[in-house]
Amino acid sequence: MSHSVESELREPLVHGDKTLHDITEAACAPMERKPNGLWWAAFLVALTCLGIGFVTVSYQIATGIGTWGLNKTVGWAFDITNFVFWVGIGHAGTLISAVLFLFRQKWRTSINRSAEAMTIFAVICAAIFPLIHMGRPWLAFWTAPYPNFRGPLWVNFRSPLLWDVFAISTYFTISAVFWYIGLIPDLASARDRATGIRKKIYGIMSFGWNGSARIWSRYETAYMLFAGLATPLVVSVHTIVSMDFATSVIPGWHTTIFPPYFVIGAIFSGFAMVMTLLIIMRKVVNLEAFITINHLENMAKVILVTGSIVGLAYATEFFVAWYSGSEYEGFTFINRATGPFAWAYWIMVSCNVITPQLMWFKKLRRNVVVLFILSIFVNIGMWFERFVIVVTSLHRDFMPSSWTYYTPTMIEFLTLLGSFGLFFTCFLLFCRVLPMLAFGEIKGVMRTGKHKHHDHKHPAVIHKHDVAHAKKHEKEVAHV
Amino acid sequence: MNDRFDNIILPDNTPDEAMPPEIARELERVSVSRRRFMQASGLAALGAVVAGCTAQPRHVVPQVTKQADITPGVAYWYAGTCAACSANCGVLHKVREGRPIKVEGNPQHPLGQGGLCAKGQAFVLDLYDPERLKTPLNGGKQRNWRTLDGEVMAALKDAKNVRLLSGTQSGPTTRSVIEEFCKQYNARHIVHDAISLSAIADAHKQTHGARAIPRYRFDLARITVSFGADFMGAWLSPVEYARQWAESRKLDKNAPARLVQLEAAMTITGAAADSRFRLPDSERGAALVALANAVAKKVGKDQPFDAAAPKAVAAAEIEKLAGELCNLKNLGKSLVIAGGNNLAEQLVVNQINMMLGNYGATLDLANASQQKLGDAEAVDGLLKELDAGSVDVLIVWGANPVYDSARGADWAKALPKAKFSVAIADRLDETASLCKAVATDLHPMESWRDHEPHKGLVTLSQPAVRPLYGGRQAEESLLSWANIDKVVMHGTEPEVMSKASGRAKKAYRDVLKDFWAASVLRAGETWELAIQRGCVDHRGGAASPAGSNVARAEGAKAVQAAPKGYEVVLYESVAIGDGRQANNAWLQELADPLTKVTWENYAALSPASLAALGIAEGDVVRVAAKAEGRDVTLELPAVKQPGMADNTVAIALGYGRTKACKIAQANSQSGVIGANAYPLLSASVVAATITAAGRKTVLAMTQTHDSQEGRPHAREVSLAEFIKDPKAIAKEPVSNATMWTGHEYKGHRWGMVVDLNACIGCSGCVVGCQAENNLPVVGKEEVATRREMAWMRIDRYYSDDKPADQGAVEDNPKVSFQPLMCQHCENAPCETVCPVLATTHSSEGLNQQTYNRCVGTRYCANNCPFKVRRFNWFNYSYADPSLNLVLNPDVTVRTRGIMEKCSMCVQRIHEGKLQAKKAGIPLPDHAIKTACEQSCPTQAIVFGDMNDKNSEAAKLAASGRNYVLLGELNVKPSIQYLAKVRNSGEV
Repeated sequence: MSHSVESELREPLVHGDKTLHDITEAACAPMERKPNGLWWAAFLVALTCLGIGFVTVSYQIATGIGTWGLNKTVGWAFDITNFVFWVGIGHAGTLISAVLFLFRQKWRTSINRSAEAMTIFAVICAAIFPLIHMGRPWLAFWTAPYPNFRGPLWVNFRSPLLWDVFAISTYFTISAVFWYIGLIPDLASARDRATGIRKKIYGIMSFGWNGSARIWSRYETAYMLFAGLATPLVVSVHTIVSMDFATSVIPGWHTTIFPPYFVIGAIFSGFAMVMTLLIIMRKVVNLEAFITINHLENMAKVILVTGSIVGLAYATEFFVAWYSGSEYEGFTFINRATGPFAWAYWIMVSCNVITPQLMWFKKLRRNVVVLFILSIFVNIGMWFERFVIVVTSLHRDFMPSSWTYYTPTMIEFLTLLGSFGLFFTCFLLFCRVLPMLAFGEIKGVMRTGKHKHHDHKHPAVIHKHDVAHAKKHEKEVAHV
Repeated sequence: MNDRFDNIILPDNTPDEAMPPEIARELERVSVSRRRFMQASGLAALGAVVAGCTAQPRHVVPQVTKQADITPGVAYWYAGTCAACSANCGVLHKVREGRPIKVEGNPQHPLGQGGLCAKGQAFVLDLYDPERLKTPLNGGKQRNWRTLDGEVMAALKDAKNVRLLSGTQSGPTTRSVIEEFCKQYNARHIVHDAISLSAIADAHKQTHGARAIPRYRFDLARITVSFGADFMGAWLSPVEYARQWAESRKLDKNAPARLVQLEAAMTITGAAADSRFRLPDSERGAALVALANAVAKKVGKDQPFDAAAPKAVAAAEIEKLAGELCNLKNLGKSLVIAGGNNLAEQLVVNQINMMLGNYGATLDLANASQQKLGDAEAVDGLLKELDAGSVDVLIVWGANPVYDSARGADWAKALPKAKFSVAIADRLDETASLCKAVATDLHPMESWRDHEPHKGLVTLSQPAVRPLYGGRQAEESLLSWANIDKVVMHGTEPEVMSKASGRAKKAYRDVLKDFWAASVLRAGETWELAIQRGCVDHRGGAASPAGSNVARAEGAKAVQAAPKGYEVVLYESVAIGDGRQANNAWLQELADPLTKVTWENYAALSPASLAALGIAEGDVVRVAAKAEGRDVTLELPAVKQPGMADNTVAIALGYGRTKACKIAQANSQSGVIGANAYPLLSASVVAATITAAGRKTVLAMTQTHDSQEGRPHAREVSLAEFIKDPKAIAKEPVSNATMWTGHEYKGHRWGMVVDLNACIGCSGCVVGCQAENNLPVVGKEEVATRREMAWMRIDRYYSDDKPADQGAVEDNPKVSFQPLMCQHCENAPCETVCPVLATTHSSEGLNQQTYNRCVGTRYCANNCPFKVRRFNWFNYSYADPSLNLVLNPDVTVRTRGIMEKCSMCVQRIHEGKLQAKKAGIPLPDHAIKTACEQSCPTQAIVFGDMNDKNSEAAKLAASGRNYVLLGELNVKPSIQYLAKVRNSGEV
């Protein structure tokens, strides 16, 4: 870690006079004890949703895309809406872990692990939709440029869908690797505490981590490199997803503002989802000391800023639609706000533009209940943003003769439910088997705001399980 | 006795132009006489066809020596006559490997000249209808022909009152057979037309002394005034008339002809009209009388009728119309016609035409139409006889009065009172199921027959396939029954002995041929040539006997009092017609050109009427009326029809079939699609009360938005504007700035030109495309979800600008039709977005869809600005595998999960190129015709090579009236549209 000078006035990042051992205990406890009833209940619900989703998708693949409510004019609806929604959710994790890391935002350490896990699971959920939205998903491998015996037949590098394939898979790979690298020291701690088969598994997963200074040094170099690698991906993934729309000719899609608009929207929605999850998690797993109200407030500020930018983007779209003088473009936006799908548009605006403005008030920003409700609103709003973009642009485009309405079927609702089932099943399992807190990193930021009282205390209480980290810490203390 | 049909298939070869060139060359080389060749090829064709149709051979034996002129993969074309309605257009049947797969208009036939309507295009599907009867029946039990003949004979032997009821049968040979039968049993022949025009014939009997419907010449008329006759959609001979109308409107002529339509319902003829007035049927008589008087004034004659003043059309408009009709350049070159079947009105029409001097010019009685020969009075007489129980034997052939007559219920009661009744029918329809016996008829595509649509124009039908299900041609049945000598009883089984000689012994083909040799063919004509061309044309010049003036009292009779309530207008829809093809899924799924509703009939009401009733589109209404003493109540969904007269309800006939129509009975709740409106049929205006039934239905519509929203898709100019600058349309700036070099087309560059000035929305092309390209039928629910699979559709827009009568916009809007298929863009938005290169650009400018490669992301369809791409949401297949026989083997049948769209009939392009290559000649213009182009009665679609500057398509594309859709997108479509020019009479 780099040398830094911190204000004495800065608030501590970890509350409640924790020792390093307390942190380890707190982080490892969920992995080591039997799950409580609440976890089981949540897991069963999530698994049921996943099961419903599995049955639904199997039925859809066996019967045909016709089980959805799509028609000759609206060729995408829930499928691509869900896809963009989940990819957007997947943004916050990498942003928190990589970008905030590079910007030395130490408060990130309490939340980055679960945010990254969320990213991975969200991208998995997202990846399902392009797959199952195909008429013949069993041929999905044709979208990969692999050597084949079909003569010069290759993929179409001009197609944004193909760019998606690359962008998503790259993003997923880097995010997963980055996440895993961050996990290694914590897995080693878990290994050192575990016995029997768990010790073996954690042993394999921690790649023989021994906590030596050399290992730490290489680890941190690698972490820094991956953070650097992941950062452009935060921008590129949603830029490319936005190009699915931006490179088309359909009014409402064909918009140069889309790349930044989508990236900001993704950060917005990602932070909202992180907030939803963390508010539940800190309550259920008793992590209030680590995920403090300050964390939540910081995220609320990000939501306020990004929400306002999103609002600006909405306004810009309208302005350009008018300013361009294109009758089709102009119509599309008037139709969005006043047409048959106006209800969706106004849900989007109220959730994404109006509600975040409440975050100007500190009182509300620091009220967990308000924040939870807000985050849910933003999640809903951002789902509808994608729905509005996908469906309202398609349902009335150039030829009035082909204008239609779109009504989703139960299959589509259940598929969306199934994706949430998958997401929460994965997340709940993650809470059980992997350290939810990047406690290796948290320990590194514990000094913040504690100089006066604890500066000389905490090196003295090194627990045997914290040997690995202590070395790192000593190094840091030496710097100071 | 007559189960053998080996004599049926003797296809005497195809018309000359369809003859493969290698055969023609071979023919010249060996100099076989034509007759010899015909025999040889016929025999060979017989062999192949018979082999192809044998049911499920156990062993497949390779053909060691190929037959000389049967090549698998090569289509054979047989000239025939369409029997989808009584117009008798000439057709060609395309036969592949023994299976008829397509019906096309015969370009050598004088009626349609290659054009064909939707019903005709769909006729081939009826051939494979699995609900056709397989064996004759008596008392519901299966019979063989020998037994059935014996039973019929036993009934006929002692019968005194024998009646033969049939649909219009105009063929001279057929009529001779009927005569022979009638003579034998002293029987009477009665002709029933579901939708009768007998008033026209009766009116001419009064004015011209001959009961005949004239041959109408719309091509010679410089102005046509039609009072509710949908002559391009359904009236008498729509394809013939549409062709003539298009001919009269060619813009290269000095001034295109003008069409004025005054009608209550909205028809495609009204939509095509240059001026259209809303005129309730109850005021038609008054309007006709007013026009007659106005015309008389203009031509300086006495007013023929007492004055009458219609409320719906201003006197000044009538005056103006009369002025146009009597304009010197139009005199004797106009045409006034009226729909409906009211004698007094038709008499007034005759009076007007006589005063205008149209008889002998645009109205030809020398070559009168024989397309409807029905005599409504005689049919009513038969019903009375039946009801009285005085008919001993009733034979019903090709008529279904229980369903398709106003007094169907009476027919159902009276029919069983005949001592013996036999239906010659192909299915147990509403009438046949009430007859004691059924002699299974053949499909017309399996039969030999002749027709005489105009006096002197005799057309032939020849079988295109061996009978699929053991039936017997109606004429053979009649001849057999006319010539049975005696019946020998073997226990209870009768056996018939025919006379040793006579026509009954002969195959009907020989009967026909002999009759033609004796009575039809003239010097220089041969049977072979006739059968190749499909017809002989002996029509002379137009002529007409002098007419006598109509009695003054007829005018008063024609003027009807306005009824209380809603006037009922019954019409034949473009798809279902009179209902005989109700079991045809292609037609049931064909969207009505105006309302775009599929799969049912409905109560069409004007927007004002809907508002007055306080109901919305899709609400079910109860239409209750008293028609000629019958109480009739129908429940139908209401549909908004702009342009309809207020206080009028229009209902399509042909729906509500209840027997032997699986497709038409597909509604799971009521077991019937639509409601049968025939009971409302009447010569006078029927008034109905309309009440909401309190239910709603989902209408399966293919288009739900009526306005173009001011977008310049279907463009239109007035004739005055056009004359001022004929090239104004093409002058509109289109940005085509680009950073890229475009595609290079070294050889051909295919393109198409669609003339909106000619398109009447008849939808023949839509069904033609369906037949050619194996388009699936998806059913009502799927259409309602907007998933119809049509590769080409006809967009219909109602104008937004104020109509002439200054009412609300939707009271009488102008209608634009725009056929829309894949635009085959040069910069195709679909091509760039496909991740797997399933849609690509060909070196000849086609946008190709590779089905095998498609993974079904639907991105291409989303990015298509024209929304012409169609996705296979499910596996669509025919419920009955026998219908698969209609599939075109040249076109891949698509599986679920893939995208498809118009291929510009790429299979036809390849065939045409191949033919030219084999002949060693450059591809001639028009050698390739796409299915839509081929089918179009008005020749609105022209396909061609845009690289060939002399091709008609290239010339039209540079005509100045041309434009492309969405030019500002710079997608560069290969389809050019020609703007409509409306001749509103100001020039």
